[in-house]
Amino acid sequence: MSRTQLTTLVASVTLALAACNGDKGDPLEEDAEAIETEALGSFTTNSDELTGDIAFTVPDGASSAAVYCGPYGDSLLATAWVITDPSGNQFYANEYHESYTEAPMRVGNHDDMLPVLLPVSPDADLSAGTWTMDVWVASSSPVTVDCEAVYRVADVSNNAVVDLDLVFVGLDDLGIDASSAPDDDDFQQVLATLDDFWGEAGLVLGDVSYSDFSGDTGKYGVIDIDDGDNGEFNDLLATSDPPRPRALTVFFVEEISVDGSPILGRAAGPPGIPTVHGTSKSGMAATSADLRDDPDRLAQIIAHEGAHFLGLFHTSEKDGGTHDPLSDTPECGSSSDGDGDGIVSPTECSGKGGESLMFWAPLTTSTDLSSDQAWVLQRNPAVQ
Amino acid sequence: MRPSILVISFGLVSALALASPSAHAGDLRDSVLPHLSGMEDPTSPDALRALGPGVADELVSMVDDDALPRTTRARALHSLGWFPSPATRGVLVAALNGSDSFMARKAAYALGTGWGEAAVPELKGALASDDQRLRDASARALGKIGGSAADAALSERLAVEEAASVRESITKALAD
Repeated sequence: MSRTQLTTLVASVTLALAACNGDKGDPLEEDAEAIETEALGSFTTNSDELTGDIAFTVPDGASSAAVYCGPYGDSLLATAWVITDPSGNQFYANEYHESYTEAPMRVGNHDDMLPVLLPVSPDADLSAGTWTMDVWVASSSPVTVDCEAVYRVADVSNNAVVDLDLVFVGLDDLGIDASSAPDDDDFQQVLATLDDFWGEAGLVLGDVSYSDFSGDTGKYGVIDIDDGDNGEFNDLLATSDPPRPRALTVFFVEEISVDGSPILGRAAGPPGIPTVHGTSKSGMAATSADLRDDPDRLAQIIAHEGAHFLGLFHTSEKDGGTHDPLSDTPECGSSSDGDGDGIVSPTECSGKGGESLMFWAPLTTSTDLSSDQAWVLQRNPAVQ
Repeated sequence: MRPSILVISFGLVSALALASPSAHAGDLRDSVLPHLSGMEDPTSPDALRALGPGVADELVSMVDDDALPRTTRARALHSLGWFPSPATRGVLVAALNGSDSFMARKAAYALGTGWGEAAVPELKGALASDDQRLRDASARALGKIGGSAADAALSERLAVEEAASVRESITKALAD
């Protein structure tokens, strides 16, 4: 399946800091200077379900690195087993690794493609030189993956620009598509509020492109994730093909449904694979049903999921047992579960992260982004 | 065409449900709302049930509360499937036959969850809707119910269904 961009309007959002940045020059030329890529080769898992060392060389001056391996299919999971820095020191180990110690780093268990972003905390040093990563793929049969790396070598800006590639997936019931969105008051309010959310972290919206999904909108307008099968979601993201190479692709669907229950959004990864398109980890999707009644809520969904794609995790997960690897975000532990329902709510976590945009269930008033969170976001290879 | 079993309005059914003696709508709003607000986390039936009596009434009140985001109301509606009663069934059947496709899909799943084979007649009707996405949701809901009545409804629809994605969902539902 491929997406044909029937309607692509590349427009500078009036909210963007074009005036602040002045003439940005040719963005494609700047991308070539700011991003370096490295093909790492093919690797096959052994009897321990491990690939062995995958070497990648972080260039001098790099502010971030994204290493990714795959594809290995929607039915398999993989994660980083151990990561070693150029000095030979253990940078990260999986919690089941014999040398596990807590580190300012998180890697998820991911189907089809494994994205690993470095760093996801200012407490972790991305030093130049040759690193290694051993990948675990949960399969007793040998699995071969191709691995590549993307490095951002440009300086980090406090007015960091994010280009967006907006794809509308059969939103007839909401009366919105690529041709109407640039002049739709509700939709433009979504972008304005998104700019406010991300402005807390020094991010500004850059160029925005609009297109209509040309595949089966009857199918992909509602993303069904049944019994843990992310196939529809992965297939949709794999159609990403933005006109700007560093753009974040946002698929607007009517609904994402998990075993029939609607969820608000989902990002590739997290984090996603930045600047690389056409993979199952290239972009994010948002349930758009709130567009007409509550555009600010839709903006919050995009802000939250987009931040996931760019490297942020929940400040606290719903059971209060897991937190992000950042030192300046408040944590809300399970002891805050005052009503004993098994989850920590925003009100139970008041003053302990409930006000964060990246809380697992943010209220509409949950807008906070910390200095560390801004630090991570501004360094992502997708950010300029 | 959607079945027109009920002509009573969705809102009226909700109001009738709220009029039951056990209704305590509003008392649990602050406790229930976080369960319906997770960005990527679907609502958990066990966690909702842990809040104690009155949750179903609160969910019904939320379904009709226009001050809440539509996604929150849809989550409340879907959650009614975990609290089967005549009142919640009335709310769900009305939503299934209503004009809001999003809510109708959530009602389809909830009816399957809460009433199983007893919901097959309603879901069979929805499977004949002119709304492709509702047909797809109904096929998936029938697939989760399983059994001869659900399979018969799915097979009957498969014979005439033209939308590829719905055919795919029906075929998968029959195979599971």
